[in-house]
Amino acid sequence: MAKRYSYRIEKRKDIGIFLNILSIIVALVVSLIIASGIIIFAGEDPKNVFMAILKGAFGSQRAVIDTLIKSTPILLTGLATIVPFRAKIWNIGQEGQVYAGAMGVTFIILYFPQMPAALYIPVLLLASVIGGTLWGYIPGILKARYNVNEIIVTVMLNYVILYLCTFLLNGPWQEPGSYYYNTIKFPDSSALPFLFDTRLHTGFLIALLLSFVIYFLLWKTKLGFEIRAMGNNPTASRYKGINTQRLIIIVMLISGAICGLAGGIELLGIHHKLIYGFSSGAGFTGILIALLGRLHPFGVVLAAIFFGALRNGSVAMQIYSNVSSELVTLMMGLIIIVLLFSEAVFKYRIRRVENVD
Amino acid sequence: MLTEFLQVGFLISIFAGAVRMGTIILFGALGELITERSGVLNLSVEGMMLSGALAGFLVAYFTDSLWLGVICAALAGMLISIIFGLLAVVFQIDQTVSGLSVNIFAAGLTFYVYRTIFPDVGTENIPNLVPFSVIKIPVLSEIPFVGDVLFSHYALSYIALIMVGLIAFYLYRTKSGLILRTMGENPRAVDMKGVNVTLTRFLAVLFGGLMAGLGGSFITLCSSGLFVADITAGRGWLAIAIVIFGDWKPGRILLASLFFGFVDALQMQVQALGVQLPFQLFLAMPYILTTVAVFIGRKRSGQPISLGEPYVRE
Repeated sequence: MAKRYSYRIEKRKDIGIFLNILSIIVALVVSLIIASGIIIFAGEDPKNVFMAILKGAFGSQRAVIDTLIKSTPILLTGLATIVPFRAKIWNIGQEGQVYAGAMGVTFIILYFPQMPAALYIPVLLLASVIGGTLWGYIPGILKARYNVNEIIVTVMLNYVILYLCTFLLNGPWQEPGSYYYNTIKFPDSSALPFLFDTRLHTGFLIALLLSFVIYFLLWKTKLGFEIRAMGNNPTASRYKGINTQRLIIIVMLISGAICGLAGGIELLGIHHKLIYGFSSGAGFTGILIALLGRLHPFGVVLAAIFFGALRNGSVAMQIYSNVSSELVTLMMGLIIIVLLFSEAVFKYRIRRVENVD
Repeated sequence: MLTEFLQVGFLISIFAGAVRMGTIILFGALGELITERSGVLNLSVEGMMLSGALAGFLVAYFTDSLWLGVICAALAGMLISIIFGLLAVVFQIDQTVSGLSVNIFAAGLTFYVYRTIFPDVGTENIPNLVPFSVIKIPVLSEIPFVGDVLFSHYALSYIALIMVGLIAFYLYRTKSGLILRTMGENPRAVDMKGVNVTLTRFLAVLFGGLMAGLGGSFITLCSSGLFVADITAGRGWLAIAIVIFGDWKPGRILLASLFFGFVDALQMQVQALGVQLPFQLFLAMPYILTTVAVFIGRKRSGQPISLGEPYVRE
C-alpha cells in the first residue's frame, strides 16, 4: 500500500526561548522596513533618518546618558505592568498611578517642608510609593471584592486623577504668580543624587535593581508562582486553594507602588517641581514596554532602553530631517502589532502527516 | 444661579446636548454590542473612534464634502478593526492584549498622520472646517421644547437612533441574529450547525469598527469641526462601559448613552454658566460616573458566556 502524505498546520504547545527571540528579531526587522516605507513616503532617506536617531541616542556620552534618563520612567512602568499582566489582571491605570506618585511627593514637599536632610529623599520616595499604591488599590479592591472590570475602572481613574491634578495645579498648588500649571521649585535637598559625575540620577539604578527584585519575586517566591499560576489558569488556581481575591489586590498594589515610584523619581530626578504633562505618557508606554519585553523583567529592561533610545534619538531626527518626532510614537505601536503577528505565525508549524487509507 | 438653571433655554440646551453627546457613545456602544454578542471583546474602540475622527476630518477638510468624510471615517474604523480581527479572531491572540496593542497603534498612527499633514500647527492656528448643521424635522420640530430637544439634530444622530431599532430587530427577530447571539454563548453549537465561527466573528468585529468610525466622525464633523490629539477623550472606553451597564441589550444601551450624554452636556453647560466650582470637577464627572456605572453593572446577567474566549475547533 502506497503511503500518502499531506501537510497540516498545527499549533505548537510552547514556542521556546529560541523561537521567542527569533520572532522578536523578525518583528523588529519588519517594523524597520515598514517605517522605511513611511519615511520614503514623507520624502526623506530612511538611512539618514535612522542614522540621525542612532547618533542622537548613542552618539556621545551625553547622548547615552540622556537615553538612560529617558529609559528610567518607562522601565519602571514596564516593570509595574508585568506583575498584574502575568496574573491576567489588566491594569491600564499606570498613567494615573504615576501622577498619584508625583502628587504624593508634592504633597510632602508643600506641606512638610521641615525635615531632617538625611530622611528627606527616602520619605519623599516613600510618599510617591504610597500615592501610587492608593490609586492602584481602588481598582484592585473593586475587582477583588466586587468583580468590577478593572480595565474600565483603571482607564477612568486615569482621567479622574489628571483632572484632580490640574485642579490643584490651577489652584492651591500653583506657583504664586505663575501663568503655567506648575508648583514652586522643589528645594535642592530633594534632588536625587547623580551617578558618576554625570546627569544620570540614582533613579536609573533603582529601576535596574527593581528589575532583579521583580524577577526574584515572580520566579523564586511562592507569591510569584501563585501570580503566574493565576494567569495561566484562574479556575484551576481557585480549586488549588489559591486565594485569587488576595492576589488581585496584591498585584494591583505592587503595580501602583512601582508606578508611583516612577512618578516620584521623575519629579525628584528631572523636573524638580510638579508640572502638567511631566510624565510624557510614561504610564501608557509602560504597557508597550511590558508587552515588547514579553512580560519578563529583563526583556523589559532591554525594551525600555530601546524605546528610551528611540525617544531620545527622535529629538535629533527632527532637527536633521523633515520627519516629525511623532514617527517614534507610530513606530512603537507598529512594532507591537508586528510582534503580535510574528509571534502568532511562529506559534504554528507545518507538519507532514501520513494519511491512513 | 438656580433661576438661570431653570430657564427653558438652558434646559433645552442640556437635553438637546444629551442627545448630541450621547450619539458619539451610542455609535461606539452599538458596534461593540454586536462584536461582543459574537463572543469577541474588542477593547480598541477608542483607537477606532480616534481613527474615524481623524479620517473624517481630513477627507472633509480637503474635499469639502462632509458626507465623504463620514464614509471615510467608517472605512478608517473598519481598517483598524481588520488589524484587531486578524490578531484576535484569525490568529487567536489574547483579545485583551490585541485590543490594547491596536489602541496604542491607532493613537500613534493618528498623531503621526496629523503632524505630517499639518506640521506647523500650534495651539492657535488649528485647521478647522464648517461642520454639519442640524436638520429640523418639519412640523415636529415646531413643538415647543420637545421639538428642540428631540427633532433638531444632526443627521448622524438620527442615523444612530435608527440603528438602535435595526440592531434590536436584527438580534431578536432574524435567524442570523439568533446565530450571532448563540455564538457568544456557545460557539461550538453553531459550528456544528455548519456556521463559520471565525468568519462571522470577523464580520462582527468589522461592524464594530464601522460604527466606532462613525462615532468618531460625529466628534470632528458635527460637534467640533476640528481635530486635536486624543480628541475622543476616553469616549471609546465609555462605550465599552455602556455595553456592560446596558446589559448587552440595545434599548438599555440607548438609555445609558443618553444618560452619559446628559452628564457630558450638563458638564459643558454648567461650565459655560461660570459656576463657582472647580471646572475640573465637572470635567471629571463622566469618568467618575462611568466607574460607578460599571460598579452597578457588575451583576448584569446579559454578558455572553464565551465573551473573550477564542474559539478553538477540536
